[in-house]
Amino acid sequence: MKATSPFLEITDLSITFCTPGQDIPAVSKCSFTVKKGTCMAIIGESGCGKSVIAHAILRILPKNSLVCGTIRFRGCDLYQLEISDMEKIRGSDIGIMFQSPDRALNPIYKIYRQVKEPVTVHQTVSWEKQHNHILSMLKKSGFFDPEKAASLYPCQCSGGMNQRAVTAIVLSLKPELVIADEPTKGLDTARISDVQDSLMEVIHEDRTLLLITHDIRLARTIATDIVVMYAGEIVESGLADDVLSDPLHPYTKGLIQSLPENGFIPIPGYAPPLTDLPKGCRFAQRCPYASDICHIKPAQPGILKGRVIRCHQY
Amino acid sequence: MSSVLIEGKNIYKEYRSGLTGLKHTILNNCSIIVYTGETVGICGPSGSGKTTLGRILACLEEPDSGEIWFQGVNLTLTSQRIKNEIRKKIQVLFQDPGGTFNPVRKLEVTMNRLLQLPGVTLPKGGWEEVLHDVGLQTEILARYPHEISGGQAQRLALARILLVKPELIILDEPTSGLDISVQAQILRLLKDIKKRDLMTYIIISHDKDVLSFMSDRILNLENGTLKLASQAV
Repeated sequence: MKATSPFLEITDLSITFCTPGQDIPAVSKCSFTVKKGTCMAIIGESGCGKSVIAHAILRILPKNSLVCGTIRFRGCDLYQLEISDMEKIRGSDIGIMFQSPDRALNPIYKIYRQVKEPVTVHQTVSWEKQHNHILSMLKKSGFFDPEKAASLYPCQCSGGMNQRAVTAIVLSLKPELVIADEPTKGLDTARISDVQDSLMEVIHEDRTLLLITHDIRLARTIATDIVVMYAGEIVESGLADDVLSDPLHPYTKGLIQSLPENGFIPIPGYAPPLTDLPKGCRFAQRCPYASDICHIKPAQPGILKGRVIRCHQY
Repeated sequence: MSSVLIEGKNIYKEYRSGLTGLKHTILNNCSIIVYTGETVGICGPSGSGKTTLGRILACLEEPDSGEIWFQGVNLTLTSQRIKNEIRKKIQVLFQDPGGTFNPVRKLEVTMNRLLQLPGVTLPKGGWEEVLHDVGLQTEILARYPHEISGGQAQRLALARILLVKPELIILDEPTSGLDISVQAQILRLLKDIKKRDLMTYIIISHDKDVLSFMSDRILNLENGTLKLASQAV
């Protein structure tokens, strides 16, 4: 039985990017909790604010961002910490697999050095054991010949190999919370399966996973809970099985209908630009069930069937 | 039976690694026939040479040996002038078309430059008609490439391709990295264009669902050669 204490607690999180001429509200009043030893998936279209939340957790947002609300990790408000304390948490307690591993890796260092760096900085493994630890992490991440993989530069590796190298870097410190940002983007089926296995292992080791993806099938396979985001807001959240098998919000319904097994039926139209959000519900213009009130008044989150839902219909 | 539109015969291509100097054979005696109005899917693992084959068929790259025939013309032997003419008939929709727009110019500048090409003209309805066909509005032309989404960039790239009136479109991972709903939008749009213009497609993807949805035939590229993987009934 998994522990159920809130491990990561995000309350009323709003993130605005202040740019010359206009403010861009990337995330608006988002709240959710992640329990220890579980996997929470955040799904939604590109630009809906999924990755921004991940970066906010690690406090690596650009300087022009304004963050309101709280992010509590193991009960501690991350935004009240000194930078030096936050640096200790990054990597060792909260690790992140950035999307596009080709760009996340340093092109001029071999894989070995890049896996070694966090281990050296955080001094989690003694100097004598470092070499074996690095090779074992590479092997665990799916390299059959870790010695050879360690001697390669990122440009000599395929996209899948670089993805596995990033996994090895993150897992080398055994962080309590692993944030995987689009870990399967652009990978072929075999590589997706490899990545899925390494993510499953994180959960089996009673660590916690925050999975950011637009791959609904991946989320369905490994996530315990799910948050559906649209244009910077959470529109539905609850148990992954419930939300994906019986979606309530029209946007979640649309996403499920777009899946190949349902015949690739798209949601008409586009998400509104964050610089010009509608006055009412942000999904109203694309919603087949929208009524007059949806175009006038923003929907507030409510609770139905044990999940949070933001829709005037309910 | 439709006529053969493009045929690749015994294509061989190898790359030499810049670091180690080792030779990698990408395509080995690879042959393909595509008939007019057909959609042929090409699948295969990462690095199997799918994109290289697409680039060779689109005359963007030369094979080391082998022949490419388009509507009865041998492209490997023909003059550069004829090749340039034929290139217009074969267009490629890349995985990340956003990168093909000039990042420091508004999209209207990039799109209008297309009209300077010989034989490329706007229809009577102007940009409005061109963009409407791909589900876009003209206001998008006033934006910069970074101000549009991946799905909008893919649609705009498609509008740009259709303006040249191609006979074959090679779609290289057209929906990879796009959200599931936007992916469905683009695939439906491609199907509509095929129906309307009797277009021929070669679609390169590692996503079996996308290939099954779009293709009449699926070929698997492995060890440098193509083999029939499945055929629509």
